Amino acid sequence: MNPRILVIDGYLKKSRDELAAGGATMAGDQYSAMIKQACPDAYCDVIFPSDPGGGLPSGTALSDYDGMAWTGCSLTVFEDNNEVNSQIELARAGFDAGVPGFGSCWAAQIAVVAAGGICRPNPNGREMGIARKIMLTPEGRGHPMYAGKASVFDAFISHVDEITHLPAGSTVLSGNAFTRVQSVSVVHSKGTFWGLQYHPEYTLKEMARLTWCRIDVLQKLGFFKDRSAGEAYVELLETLHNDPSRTDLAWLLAIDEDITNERVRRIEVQNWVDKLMIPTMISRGRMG
Amino acid sequence: MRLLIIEGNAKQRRAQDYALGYCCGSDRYQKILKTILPDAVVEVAFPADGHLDIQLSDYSGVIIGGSGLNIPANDDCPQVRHQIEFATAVFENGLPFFGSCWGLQVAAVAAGGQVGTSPKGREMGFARKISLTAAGQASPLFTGKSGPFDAPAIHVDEVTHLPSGGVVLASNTHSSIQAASIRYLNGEFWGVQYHPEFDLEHMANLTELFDTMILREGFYENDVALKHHVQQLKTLNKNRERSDLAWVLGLDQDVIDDALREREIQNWIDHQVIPSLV
Repeated sequence: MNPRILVIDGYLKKSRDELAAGGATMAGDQYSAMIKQACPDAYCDVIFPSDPGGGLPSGTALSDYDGMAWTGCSLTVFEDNNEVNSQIELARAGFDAGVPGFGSCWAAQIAVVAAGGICRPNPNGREMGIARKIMLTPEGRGHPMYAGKASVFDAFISHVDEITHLPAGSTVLSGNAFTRVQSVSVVHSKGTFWGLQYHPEYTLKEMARLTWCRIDVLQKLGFFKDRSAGEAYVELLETLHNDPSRTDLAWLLAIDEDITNERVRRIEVQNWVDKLMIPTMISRGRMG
Repeated sequence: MRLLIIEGNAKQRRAQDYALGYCCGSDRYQKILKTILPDAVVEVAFPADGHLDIQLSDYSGVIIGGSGLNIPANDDCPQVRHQIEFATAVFENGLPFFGSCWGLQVAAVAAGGQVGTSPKGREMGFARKISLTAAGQASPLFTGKSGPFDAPAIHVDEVTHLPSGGVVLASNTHSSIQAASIRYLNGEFWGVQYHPEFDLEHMANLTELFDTMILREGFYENDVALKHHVQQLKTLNKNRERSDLAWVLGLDQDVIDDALREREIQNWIDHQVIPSLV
């Protein structure tokens, strides 16, 4: 049987439209493409739990899925509203159904909160663009998600909240000077969730479009002196995306293979497929 | 207290630096030592200009900085040989001994190690994601610098083989020996492949000084891009609060903040020089 993956795009419709208008690919589509790259046989169903009626496709149950893959999201996990609470409930249901979970940014935070942990605003503010010098903990170095990954690496990032308190059964797998929890394994109820604070699904182009959509906000936060500095930065990212031979630009922006080599950037995803999702399919008797 | 700084470059290259209004590597070390040890007498010697006849017992420590010279294929050249001989004498004397870049390479070769041209080419500007080995985490050289860090760097040679008394303290993907300690004869050397003594302006100056070579090696699309980057580095050096520039260039406090960047020098003084005075 082909693996069936539930891709959860938690963005509000308004946020999705705003990003799409700025030329960004929808988070759910980025995630489906990334999962299919790691597992070409997989079927992905994308849902939008923040939309009215945006739950599971009719006629399906969580136990029909072999994995839940969560995108990032512009919601705030410690705010009490329907869009947030329904996703926390969905994550809890995923743990109870024993469906392996994977996700970026908001997803790691949702998994931690669903299992009883806490997230708060990062006192260092917004971490944007490239998370620098993420280092594996000893537990991370020995963790199957990081097999083949360097012990210190950079990754795409965009967040203001961070995981501050882990629930029992969770393990910090990496961190950097800006954010102490850059990745986490959450083992809760019957399920396991591997969550990243960073974004392996982004490309330089997606980071460029996201940055473009947020130029004015980023300027207010001090990332750009003025709008034209922001536009120039976006152009550099897109130039490098379109022409990977521009090693001069990569060097100037301190972007190396951790970012530009898709296989390296997405080792965590491949390992999730190979070492958690498929083995769980086998143990659930779903490999046919 | 008297400290001796070895300027690794010969007279001709120093004249180039001064003609452009830049300073030499040994000037950077002098400036830093004046801050850390205001009462110390700091002297500079120039073994690349000729054999040194120095009474080492007059000093409490020796620092060898960077140089445009290359050890591979040049170990017979007098400018290089004099420096290796001098390093051997420092080991023999047992003085606290520190070095950066060329200094690490000279000390390694003096103690029986080997230096080669890096198969990855020049590491230019900033050495990225240097991480400490277990020995490095335990070494007082890195007190206050536990996580991975970046550091100013410009080198094409690197230590390929440490002598038997050598221990690797830090590495990154470009160079597996970014820092080492070397016990040899009566001494112990602590050194780094990068340049804790360079601020952003010094790196910008070196970029201008070597512009032809750096352009040829493909670090910039053209001369305009080089000049723009040089200007960005100089602006950031003068205006440390320009976090926008730092962010675009991927430069953190480990490179920008003087005290943090120079921490290895401070640690060497605190843990090697000062205790040796007692």
